[in-house]
Amino acid sequence: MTTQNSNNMTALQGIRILEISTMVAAPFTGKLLASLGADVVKIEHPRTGDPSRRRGPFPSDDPHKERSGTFLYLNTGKRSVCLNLDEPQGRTILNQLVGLSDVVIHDKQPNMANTLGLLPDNLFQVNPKLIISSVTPYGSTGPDSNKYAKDINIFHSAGEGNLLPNGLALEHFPERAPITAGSLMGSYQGGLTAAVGILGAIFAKINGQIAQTVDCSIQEAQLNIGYLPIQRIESEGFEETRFSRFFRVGGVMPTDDGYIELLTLEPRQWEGLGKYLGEPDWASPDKFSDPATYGAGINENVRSWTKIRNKNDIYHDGQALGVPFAPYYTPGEIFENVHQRSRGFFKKLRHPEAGDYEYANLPFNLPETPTILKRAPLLGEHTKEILSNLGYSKSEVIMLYRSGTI
Amino acid sequence: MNIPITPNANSSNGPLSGIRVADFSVHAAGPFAGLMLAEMGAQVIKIESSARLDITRRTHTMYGKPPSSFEQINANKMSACLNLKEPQAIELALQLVSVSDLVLENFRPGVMDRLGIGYTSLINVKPDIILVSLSSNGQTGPESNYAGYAPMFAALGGLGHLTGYPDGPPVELRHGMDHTGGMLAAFASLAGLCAKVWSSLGQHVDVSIRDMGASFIGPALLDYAMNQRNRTRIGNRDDSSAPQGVYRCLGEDNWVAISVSSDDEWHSMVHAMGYPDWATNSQFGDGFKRWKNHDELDLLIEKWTSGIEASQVSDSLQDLGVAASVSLSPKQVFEDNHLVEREAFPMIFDKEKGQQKAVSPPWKFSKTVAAIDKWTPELGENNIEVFNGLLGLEIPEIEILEKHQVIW
Repeated sequence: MTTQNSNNMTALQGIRILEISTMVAAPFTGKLLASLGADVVKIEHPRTGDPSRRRGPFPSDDPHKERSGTFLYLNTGKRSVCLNLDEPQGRTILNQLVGLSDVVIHDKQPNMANTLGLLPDNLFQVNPKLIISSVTPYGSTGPDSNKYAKDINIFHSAGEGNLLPNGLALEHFPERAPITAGSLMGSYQGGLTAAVGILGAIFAKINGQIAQTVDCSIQEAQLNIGYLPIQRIESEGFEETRFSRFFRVGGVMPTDDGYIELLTLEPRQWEGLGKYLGEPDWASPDKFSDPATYGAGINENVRSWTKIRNKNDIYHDGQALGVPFAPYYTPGEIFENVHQRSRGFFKKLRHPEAGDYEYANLPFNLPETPTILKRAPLLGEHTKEILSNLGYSKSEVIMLYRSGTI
Repeated sequence: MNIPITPNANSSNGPLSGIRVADFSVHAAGPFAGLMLAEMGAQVIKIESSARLDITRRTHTMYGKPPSSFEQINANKMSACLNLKEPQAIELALQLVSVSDLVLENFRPGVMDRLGIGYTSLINVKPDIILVSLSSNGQTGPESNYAGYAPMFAALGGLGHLTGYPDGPPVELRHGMDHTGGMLAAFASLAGLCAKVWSSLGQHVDVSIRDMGASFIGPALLDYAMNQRNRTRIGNRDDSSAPQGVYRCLGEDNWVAISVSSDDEWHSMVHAMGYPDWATNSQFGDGFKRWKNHDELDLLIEKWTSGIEASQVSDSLQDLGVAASVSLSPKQVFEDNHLVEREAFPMIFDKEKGQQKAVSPPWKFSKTVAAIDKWTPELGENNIEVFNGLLGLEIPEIEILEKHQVIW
């Protein structure tokens, strides 16, 4: 057996990260790194804080800056410092924090980064040992780098947006607009990808490469994840569209209580499906092996079969026969899910203002250096503590507070 | 004499140069994790076999075409053949692990144990090995053994339910889910490598793609925890922007994505549209009203966009500070000026096809270069380098093992 980690070590212990970012993508990066034990200090605007504090959801639908689910979820484990970066004194304090950090993560596009003094030249002057990572819609160089963009714009600039929906939704509504993945998925993909790059730079720093920049374009993160249609153009000359992209057999199937996904890629799987369906003629193995001819007919039959059944019954019975079925779960069904609960996927966090709720935990487990999930900070909760560490006296802190710097 | 291993072009100065990965993963999610590590300069050795070809080397049941379009997924890697049904192959696999830093796999839970290369066997030969297991449902729990593919992770994790038209079915999310799972496994791999620096400990890292899906809908799960509200799909809309949508433009299948959050942005948009009477109407006067009358607003906006080229709509709005962009088809992405200027599509040489474009790594490091510089190897292309150069087997010995379908 492995030796027990008796010192409660974490993967990123002792790594100090300064996060200057809002909403979803870069805050998700910071959250992931905080879960590995890094000390992540988040800079927030003194009056408004991160706009995700206004986004909700709020307990009892009662809006409050300390009770927004989007902020609470994306900023677990961080410290919050209020700092007005529009003021020279605010930037002076920022530079002092930069001097004490190993990594700076920000989400400011180049023009804005320049205004705020966040360009690499400035930051390296303050701290030549830094890792500087910008997590921006289109990266920190190139003609589009300062373009205005939100999640929907980036998602449709990276290729995947134009290819959604496919399958059943497209059959129902072929005339409608292409769609954006729900829950700001593209922003999470961008944040996760940036976190991988930053970990790479941290690992290189441990091994002697001291300072560098990591330029993360959310568009390119999504393009990288969705590279396949590009490869199909390059090597086959085939142009994928949302009309060409559907499963000849399988896809979204309606059930009595929702929807279920079916996908059989291996012969043993469609043999299992045939058995499960009671071996009707339309589901014989020879028909499955010729999806171009029989796919549409099989799908029609399977859909009318699933339509009168319960998605969880089909899921468990089908899987027992080796047939890849999976129900489309609602947030509530996930929250109550026995499998995920048995894995400890939900963790209750206490929060003095928002109340105590169970949060989605991290989607990976490092048993020897466990991940950490701690509540999100109040707006400016750590301002005084951090300024005091920087050497500011109580009366100076009051002056900075009065002037709106902190 | 041993044949020296030829490094990737970038392996000497990538962030992971000097790290060796034994990659047992197949299909898409696991290999994508290996690709990310290989692009960072790790030496990734893909273990595969003629006994059970990776699906990307076979004719695909869905696409029914050669694997050429899957070339990128195993780029930058080396290929060494081991028929893991043979005890001698398991011995060689363990030898390889003993000189590796990290092992990657995405079999169903229990398969590695059954083959004799489970975590307990690995730590016998390499006590501080990091084993990263990527799976649909995780290594534990009642459904850990269930089969899963990309759209199923999205279905179980809630992203499927939350994607689609409000009055239509959920939408299946495709390869992107596999690859995002691979990206998460790359994150967990790097976390394990960093942890080992401080702790000197290896570990068995459990990564579940279904959990990842759920972790991408954290706020919706909190809405349920707080208010017992079950959120559902809202098409192209957003909680804090109105109007937001994808609108039809001039031509066959051309669309523009527009998002307006503030009154200032709305006034800019009204200006770009040339102050039509309806737009100055008080029913769209503030964000709350625009959100309430969103259906009607969408029809009016589309009346404007549908007579104009998508790029013209986007440019005119961008000039005034409004977030707008063309919904790019894959071909338009491939030809996009900005991406081309950022060298998003580097040219790689392929023995059969000559120069071919790939998609570049998603990070630009200023010092430790990440690059894609070598296409997916032929099956067993690096057998000699790995078994002779790295593990020290004599060439005749390798030939015998090939004949006996061990190195195969």
